[in-house]
Amino acid sequence: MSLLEVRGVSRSFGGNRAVDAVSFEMSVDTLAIVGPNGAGKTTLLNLLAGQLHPNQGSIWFRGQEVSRWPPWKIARGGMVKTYQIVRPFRSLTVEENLGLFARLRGSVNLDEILLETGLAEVRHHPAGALPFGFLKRLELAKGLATRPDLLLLDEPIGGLSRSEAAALLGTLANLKAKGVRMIIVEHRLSEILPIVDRVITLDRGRTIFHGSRDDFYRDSAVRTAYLGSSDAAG
Amino acid sequence: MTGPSAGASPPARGWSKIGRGLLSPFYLAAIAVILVFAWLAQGSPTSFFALSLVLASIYITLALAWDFSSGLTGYVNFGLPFFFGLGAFTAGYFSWYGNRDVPFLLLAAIGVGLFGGVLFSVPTLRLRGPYFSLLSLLLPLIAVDFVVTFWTQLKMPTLGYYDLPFLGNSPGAELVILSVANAVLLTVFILVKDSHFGLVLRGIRDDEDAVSSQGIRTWPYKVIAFTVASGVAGFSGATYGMVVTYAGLDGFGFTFLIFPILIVVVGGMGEITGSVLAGYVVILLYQYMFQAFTEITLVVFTAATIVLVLFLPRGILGPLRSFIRFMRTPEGP
Amino acid sequence: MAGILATTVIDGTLYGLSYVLIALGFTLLFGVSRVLNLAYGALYMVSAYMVYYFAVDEGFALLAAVGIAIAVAVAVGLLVFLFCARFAPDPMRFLIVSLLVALLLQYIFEYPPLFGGETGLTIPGLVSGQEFLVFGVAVFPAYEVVAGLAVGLLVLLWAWVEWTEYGRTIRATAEDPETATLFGIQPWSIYLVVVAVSSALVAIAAVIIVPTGEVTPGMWVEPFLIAFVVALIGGLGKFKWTLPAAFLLSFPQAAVGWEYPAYVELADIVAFAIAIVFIIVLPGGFGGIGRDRA
Repeated sequence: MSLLEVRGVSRSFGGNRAVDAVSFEMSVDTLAIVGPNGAGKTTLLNLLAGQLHPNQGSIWFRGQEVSRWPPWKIARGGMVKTYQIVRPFRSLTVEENLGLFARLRGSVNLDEILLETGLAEVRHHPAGALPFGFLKRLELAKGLATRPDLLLLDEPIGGLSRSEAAALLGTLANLKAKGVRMIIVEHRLSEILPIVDRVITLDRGRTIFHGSRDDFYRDSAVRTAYLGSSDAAG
Repeated sequence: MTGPSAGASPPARGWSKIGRGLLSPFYLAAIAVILVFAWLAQGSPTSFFALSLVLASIYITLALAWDFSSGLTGYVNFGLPFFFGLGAFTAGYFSWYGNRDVPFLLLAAIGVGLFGGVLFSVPTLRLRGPYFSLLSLLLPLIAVDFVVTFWTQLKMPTLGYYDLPFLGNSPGAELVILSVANAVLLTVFILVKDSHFGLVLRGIRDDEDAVSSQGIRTWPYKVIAFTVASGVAGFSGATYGMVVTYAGLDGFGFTFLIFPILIVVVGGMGEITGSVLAGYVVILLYQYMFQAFTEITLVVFTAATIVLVLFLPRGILGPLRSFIRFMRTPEGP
Repeated sequence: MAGILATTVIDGTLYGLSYVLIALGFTLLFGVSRVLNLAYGALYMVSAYMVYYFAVDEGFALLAAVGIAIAVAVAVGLLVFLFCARFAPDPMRFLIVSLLVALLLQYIFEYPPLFGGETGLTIPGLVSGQEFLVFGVAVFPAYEVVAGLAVGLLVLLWAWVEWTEYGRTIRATAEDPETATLFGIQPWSIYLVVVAVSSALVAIAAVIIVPTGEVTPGMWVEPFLIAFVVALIGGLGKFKWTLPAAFLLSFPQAAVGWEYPAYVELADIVAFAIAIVFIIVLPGGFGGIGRDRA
């Protein structure tokens, strides 16, 4: 049984089909969802997290249908999304930000998470005082604090400098080695691909590619979709 | 906030985190102040000073309730006077019909306040910000209108009950009771604030959607916080009724909204300990100023509060708290 | 005595239109700022006192007094806004400050050397005359002015917000102030205009409606509540539904008032109860289908 199964999911806004009959499965591989702007990546992630519900199709997580579950229930069930535009709890310290969710699904070692995400030195600082790079790390740490079965990362390195991004990607690689399952939505392809196993490419809501990372490099449809848009943009 | 963690941290760490608030200088100062004033008043138990302290203590109880619920969650609740008045009425009702046992009256008032708090918080769960505040404002108004409209049908005397039993033999004695209550409430609220429950409330204040979308259902926390506040307000109202021996419509009045908020603002919103210290300062100042300057006092006080809210958002003690927090972080700046 | 139908329809319409008049400024202001401003009702009270002071105490011409009242209301409204925007930018503190301002104004006007203690103050209306009967229901000419003005201003505001370029700018700023700046819109100037206009509107409402009643320092609460409730039910910043929202409250009030004339507050209770049910069930009001969280 797969960890996550998406079956023919569609979602429209008004007349616009943001996500169109997308299907895929995932169990262990780290999955990247990529595509040009407006392709429907964030919408798909929001559908998985429960912030939106599909108009058609269904979403199955750990064998249960979660298509209509509210976000908190899905998070409790083990699928947690981080925010693209960071949403820290500004008046709480870093440690308190994590502490909020620390006992949600069994106990978590906060010290470990703080170390893994490079936040140990700022654990007592109020989140509102942190620079952007740290906030991105905090976003990841908050997700980890819930001990998720599947982490949905929405542009985890968006807005970071090359070196900051490299550091964060190192963290993600470590987490992956420890068995954390992830789905990553990202624009900055060249940086993210090394830690990814499989890729799904969306274009205008539809899946135009679904395969291994190596196949992704070779596929012509993908290249057409990206023609004219630089993957260094982000 | 590490709780039971698999690994290096020994279980005792959870406890020391929760108890940490009790070691804070502000908590200790607040307890000390309560004790000192209670002791001082015994010297002249019926003086204007003692009476003012009694009044201050009642407002402090309300302020604590407001700070614990609204101060921590960020939901501005205008409904506290409603439960205050309700508590007074409850005490009045039972004493009117023969039951003059003070502990019973207090318990009844708490019970009614708790019950009302649940009734009130459940329908407002979906509401945020201004919508919530509006509803909390409408409820007291409806209650007052209801009483005024049907007071004969409800067999109530002259829009209120009178001849309630005294809370204590003298203002000095009443002050002891109220001081103990405040000390207990202060302690409990500080302990809760430092616990996971308090953390969730503060998270709700910062970003409720983020809290709920990551797995924590916020509604039980809100219901509990507001129900507790309502129960405390009911208790406070009953004590007020038994101090003035009258439970009437003035119990629902704006003063019981304004002064608690004023106290919380001066003491720092969400700080809990600040409400105690500020309560004495504000009420004593008001009482003595009123003696000297009468009506203009209200104007001055309100204007001063506006200035405070605008320029000292964390209350008078705000800068001091920031300084202490700064000194505490192991790494410094 | 008129029948229930005539009373409900006519009184309900007239009350409802006076609610519309009071709510117009608030609908605009709250629709744009999304922050609760309790000082709005206080401006109503201040305007009434200004007219009283200048027209009755000092003997100015009524129109001059009205002009001064409007000017003062706008000035106070802008002052409060500017102070809060600069020093209390978050909604919770703004709310508390606005409540304090309203109370401060009330206490100032309660202060004996000024007006405190004087009761039974009334201000002259711009339109006077004997009441007359419509289908057996007593109607004051002043209410006709209320009705006409309410409808006129409502249509004007609606047209302004929905169809003019500036109106679109206002709506854009209301939806998303940050994005608006990308289009060269200065949210600040928009807010200033909106605050000024809504302050003027509430002053006008006061000047027209208050002559039918008494002037007291505590009179700011009711207009504020009415304005808020009508604005909420009607949907924020959406003038299309202001009228139905007002009638939703005023018609039952009129009916209840006819049925139980002895119980004056009962009508208020009914209105509040309707408002509460509405707010809980449909937080966005008529105008908002998706939940409109402030």
